[in-house]
Amino acid sequence: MKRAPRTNDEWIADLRSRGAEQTAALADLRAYLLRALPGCLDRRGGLPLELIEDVVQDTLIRVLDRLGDFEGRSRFTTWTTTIAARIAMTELRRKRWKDVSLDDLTADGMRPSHSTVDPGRDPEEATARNRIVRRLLELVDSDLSERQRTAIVAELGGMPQEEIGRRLGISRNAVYKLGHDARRKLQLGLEASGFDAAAIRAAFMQER
Amino acid sequence: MGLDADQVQRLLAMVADTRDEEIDCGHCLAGMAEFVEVSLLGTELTEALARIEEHLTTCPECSEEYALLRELLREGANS
Repeated sequence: MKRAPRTNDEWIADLRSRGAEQTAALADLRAYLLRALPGCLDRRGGLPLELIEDVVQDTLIRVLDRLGDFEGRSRFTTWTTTIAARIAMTELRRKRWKDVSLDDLTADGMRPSHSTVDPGRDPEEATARNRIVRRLLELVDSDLSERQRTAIVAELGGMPQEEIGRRLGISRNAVYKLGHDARRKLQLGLEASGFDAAAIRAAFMQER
Repeated sequence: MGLDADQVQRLLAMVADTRDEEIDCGHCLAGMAEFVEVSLLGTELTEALARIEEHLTTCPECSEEYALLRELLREGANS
């Protein structure tokens, strides 16, 4: 007879036990994750089956390590799935970006590859846009650290923060903070020059 | 490579959307399970969950993970 789904408390108790209950709970969690992972990952470029098995195994290890972090604000299986989703996307990104170096993306820094401002419908609009872009690029040169510039340019080139962090030897959270500090400096610098968020949106994002 | 017009515009959008206080990806992951369940139910977000929603609109990686999470939950539950 099929057993009733475990409650959150039952999952925690079984996974904390050291005996047959833990083995059964891990097997059930593994089967649950493997139901949907291969198909969902296939639609994102796919991972070899052995790597999907690794994703599941890493998820189970992390779940066991972090049982104390589960606060019961969701179903236990939802919490487990968030961990699996992050580990799976990390593997996919590693696969997609394995042959790209930071230098490939940041060799020319912020130097515009060609005109960075599409002419607006009227010259006044184009002038306003040009002034904002010119000031932005000045601030990038004067106010950002080399690391901040590298992180921002790599991110604009499409490299995930996790991969930027791997190459810089820092965590994804640290890359996020590096980027946030850089954006905040640019925001304050633009505001001091008379270009607040509303002015930027009015000049560039009105057609969105 | 240098920046093209689209990248400069994206940088300006990122700068315009920057908040003084933002949660990072670790905090986002910590609240994502609750967020996805509340979102699927369509109930009102608490302040803490609203900050996760904000983070998801500005962080492409967390947004990708959230999209995968929703698919996994949908397909896991239906299979």
